[in-house]
Amino acid sequence: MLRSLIAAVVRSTLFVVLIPAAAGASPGGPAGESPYRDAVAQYLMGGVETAIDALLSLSDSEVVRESSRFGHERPPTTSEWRVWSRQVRGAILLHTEVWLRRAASRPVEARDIHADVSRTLARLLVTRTAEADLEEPGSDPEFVRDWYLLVAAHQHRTLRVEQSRAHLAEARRQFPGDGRVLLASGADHEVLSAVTRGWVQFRNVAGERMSQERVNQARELQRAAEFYRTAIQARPDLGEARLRLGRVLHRLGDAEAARRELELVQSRIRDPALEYLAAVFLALIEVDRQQHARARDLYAQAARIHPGGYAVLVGMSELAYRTGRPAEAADLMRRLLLRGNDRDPWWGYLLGTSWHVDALRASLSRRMRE
Amino acid sequence: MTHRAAVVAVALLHVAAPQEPFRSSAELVTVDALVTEGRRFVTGLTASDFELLDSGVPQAIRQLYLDELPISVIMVLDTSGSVRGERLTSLRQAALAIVDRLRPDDRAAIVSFSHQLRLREDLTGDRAALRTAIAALDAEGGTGLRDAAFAGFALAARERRRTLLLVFTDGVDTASLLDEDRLLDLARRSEATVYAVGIRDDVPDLRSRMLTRPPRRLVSDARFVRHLAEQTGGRLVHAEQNRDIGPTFERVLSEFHSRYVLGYTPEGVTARGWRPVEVRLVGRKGRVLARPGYFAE
Repeated sequence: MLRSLIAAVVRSTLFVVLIPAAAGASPGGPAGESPYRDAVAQYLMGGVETAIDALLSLSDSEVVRESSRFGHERPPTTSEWRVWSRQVRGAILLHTEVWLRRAASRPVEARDIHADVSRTLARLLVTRTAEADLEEPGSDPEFVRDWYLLVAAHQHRTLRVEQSRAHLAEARRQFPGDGRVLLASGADHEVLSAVTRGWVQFRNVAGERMSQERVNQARELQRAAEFYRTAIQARPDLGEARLRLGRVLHRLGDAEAARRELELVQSRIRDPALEYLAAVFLALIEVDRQQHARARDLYAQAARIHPGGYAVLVGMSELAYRTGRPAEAADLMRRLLLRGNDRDPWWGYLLGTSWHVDALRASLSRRMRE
Repeated sequence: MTHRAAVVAVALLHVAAPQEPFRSSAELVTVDALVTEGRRFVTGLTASDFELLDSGVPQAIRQLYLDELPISVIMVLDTSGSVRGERLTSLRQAALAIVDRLRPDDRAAIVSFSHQLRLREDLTGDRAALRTAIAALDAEGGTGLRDAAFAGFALAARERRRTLLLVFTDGVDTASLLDEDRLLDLARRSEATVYAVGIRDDVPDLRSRMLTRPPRRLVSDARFVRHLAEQTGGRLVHAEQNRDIGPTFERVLSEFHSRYVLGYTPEGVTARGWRPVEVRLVGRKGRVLARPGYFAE
């Protein structure tokens, strides 16, 4: 053991002495070595805007050249790993920050160098982790997995489903069988299922056109259900997968199976947003079954969690309308129409995994410094 | 029938009418019917010109009105992101035209929808308030068409007068909690008449980032809104371009005023639930557009 330790020290020292020009003394290089590395260092220290400005002051070719050094340098040793991986994480998030900020104002077909670089570095981190002789792989694979989820969530929030499809396919290749990736994949199909007619131009991760397909709601719902079932098999504790599966099954016409899933959410999951939506979705099923008293109880449960919520008011108004109480239906609808409600979890649910954007961003920012 | 006789006959019918004729109840059912011959509205008809069947059983028409009764107009207006710019300007002008054509006893409400629903002005005869609400319309967000249509039905549920639900949309629903089958069922339970106004041009749909232009011209959610309107005895009307929205709204209002209101007390019909209704002309040509039935509680 001592002999191997000495050998490792000698090797690293030898590299420092013999190959000083090889992209810095060690993989990652010290700050001050290049404007690019400075930008990454700034970002890691919390200087987000300074880092972004510095990065944007570089040309695309400089960005590509500098970022590719992470991959062209010799793989980091075990002792160097932490520093190197932190820099790569920081670079991934810095490029992603720029990409996602710019995406909103750019046409969907516009290629963004920062999207390409962040993706390349994410793949690199996974590859190097697999190749490295680490005693423990650490949290790098999870970091990259969550990066895929963050990008998908942002794509859902901005309705870029034509790109999220390919992005999540790549995530599944990198992380086969991962419950959260499967959940996001199902949500991707569920987002598209809200559109009942029209065409979609799917694009690959580089933004290039792939297939153009006519939207088929039933097909999207079925694919969503398949992904959710697989996600639940991988992670039975994923309440959101059960919630979504229940909703999708109801929309596919299988009310009994939908009820089972939604009742499981109610009995096992302690998350106000999921409990609220499960109660609303169950109530809609009970209205269909003409079990109006049960529906009323479920809406009351939902209203305790989100009084005045959009979904619960629409549902309660519909129930009153159907059960011959027009005055109550109108009053409930007026309440909804006059107050507006941006905070109902329904809005987040509607946009796939978009409601995870802020939490993922915060988590990744925290973890990039570990 | 001479004009004077017609006036007398109508006056007599009016005097005989109950105070609140528009509630379908065990006592009285009312059916709105549009009669056309080609493109022309047919006026001057009497009760004897119609045959009305409830659940297949002929009924005696006890009341008939044409263009005399106050109405409520609930405008349900798409203000999603795709309506920005020139289209929103045209939409505002169209809504103002409706307000300008309201009669002294008429009322109107403005409901706007993107992914969220907003009651810009509740049912009122105050034209100034309606104009202010229309001027404040802005466009942003997704399209909760089905939930908005239900909002119209819910607001109309308390109205004890003829109610026109004028639904304008240029897009496909992407944000509603209530699905299509549900909405069609709710429409069948409403006593309001839905006229849907769609727009037919080549502006990409509201999810333009995702949806491409299909090989043919893009239309709004025509199939659904057509079915929705038909459940209530109304119809879908298209505006060809933005500048046609105003004239289309006015045409809808004219058509609504041209509909007969037939009232009858169901006889020989006892089943609860859905009752199909059929209105036909007797001894003359023409087409009748009326609701296909009603729910008897």
